[in-house]
Amino acid sequence: MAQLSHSQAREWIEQASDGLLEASEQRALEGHLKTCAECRAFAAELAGLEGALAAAMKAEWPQKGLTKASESELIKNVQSGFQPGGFSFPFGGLGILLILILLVLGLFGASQLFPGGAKAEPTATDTPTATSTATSTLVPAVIPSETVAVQILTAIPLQNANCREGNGSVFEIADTLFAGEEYSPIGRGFDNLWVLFEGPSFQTNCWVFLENLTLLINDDPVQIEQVSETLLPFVNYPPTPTPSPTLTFTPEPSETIAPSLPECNDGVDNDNDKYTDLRDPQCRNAQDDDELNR
Amino acid sequence: MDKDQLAKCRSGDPKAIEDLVHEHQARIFRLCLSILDDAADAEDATQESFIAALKALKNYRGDSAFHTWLFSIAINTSRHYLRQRKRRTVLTNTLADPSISHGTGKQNPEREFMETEKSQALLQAINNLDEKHRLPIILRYYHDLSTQEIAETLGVNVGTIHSRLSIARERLGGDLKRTQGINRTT
Repeated sequence: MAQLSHSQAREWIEQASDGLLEASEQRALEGHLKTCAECRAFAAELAGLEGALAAAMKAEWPQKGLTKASESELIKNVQSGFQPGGFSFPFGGLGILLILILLVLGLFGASQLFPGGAKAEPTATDTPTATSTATSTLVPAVIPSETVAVQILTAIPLQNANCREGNGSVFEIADTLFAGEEYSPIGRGFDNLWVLFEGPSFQTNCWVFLENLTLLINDDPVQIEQVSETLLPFVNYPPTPTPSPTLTFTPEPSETIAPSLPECNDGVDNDNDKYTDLRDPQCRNAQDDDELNR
Repeated sequence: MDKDQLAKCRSGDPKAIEDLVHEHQARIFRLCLSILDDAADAEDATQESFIAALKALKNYRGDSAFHTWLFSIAINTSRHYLRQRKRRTVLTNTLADPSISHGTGKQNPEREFMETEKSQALLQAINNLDEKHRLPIILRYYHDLSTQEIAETLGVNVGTIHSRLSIARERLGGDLKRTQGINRTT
């Protein structure tokens, strides 16, 4: 086997520490360490740092949970704070949209059947109770069943996907869509690159990059360009946030801490694909903070 | 937690919810505490995390381990808290209190002082990391999650987590050396 360089050995030492080294690489590394005092020192330093990190944090935040009293209160609050079984529209926001479309079409049908309009009963301003009978009988007459191929649009993340407050990694993560689960998108950006959802955990709207999703209409995969605007309307992206300093700690002048640069502008091949920064096709722009996921 | 138990939780069964909270509260509370560094905020975030998880349970299909899924929700909840606070808490506030000892007790006082100084410097350095580097460090060395589990929890690739851990360790090691160098010269 070829000799390991020091830099390769150091990378492998870190990979071994993160549990990512193959068995054959592990053996080659062990062989190198037997003969390289410099790399042994690096490994010892890393082990020391890891031990110190674990010790510092475990001393700061003890390894115990809530007290019995706090746990009882927590259980009570969680039980009362969670109200299951409330009525929810099928397919979330899309269900609401479909019902609204049917109602509008129903009213349109009513106006076609009762051109007098004013004499038609019930009128468009009637309460849902008043219109329910008319709507249920009129809709089938206006929209023959064979033309109402109801389309259900869903999205399934290919991996756990960050749902952000806007279209880019400069925006905060607002929620997470989980791999393999089905979600109802509610909009898309003008460039068809980001899809808008109501976040499943916090019910706030957030954006997921399209490449992390499979879109389906009635369970058949589709390209976003094939999805009609009625099913997935275009929504304006939020304005890009102006970066603000995140550190409150002001170090001594002699301890200046380098600001964290976005991964696509830090001069490092962060995902080890041999492409650095904007040469990496996964980088959207210099503000992009992830060379792997867009 | 098996599927039946989760189904009962979804339907609001109080006993199932109690069991779920009891089983996971310690880890979730510690996770929120390690991100927020404030016990009261961490308790609130723990509660919100469980309620958010119960609401989102209808979307959980078991593709990832339940505790990983729950961790993701707790992390997002804590992020919401951080954003609401609009500030970053300095982790070493409590360490500044001389009445609180973080040593193991029976050491040589000088060595104990040095160890406490080192811990303090490390916690300060961790606090100085930006979120994308700080979270993997906390999950790895405080919560003992594997790289794979961190990747699943944060929704990013394993290689990205390794890269972030590596960069964070380099910065922390550098900060620590600088601090120790400053201490030695003072």
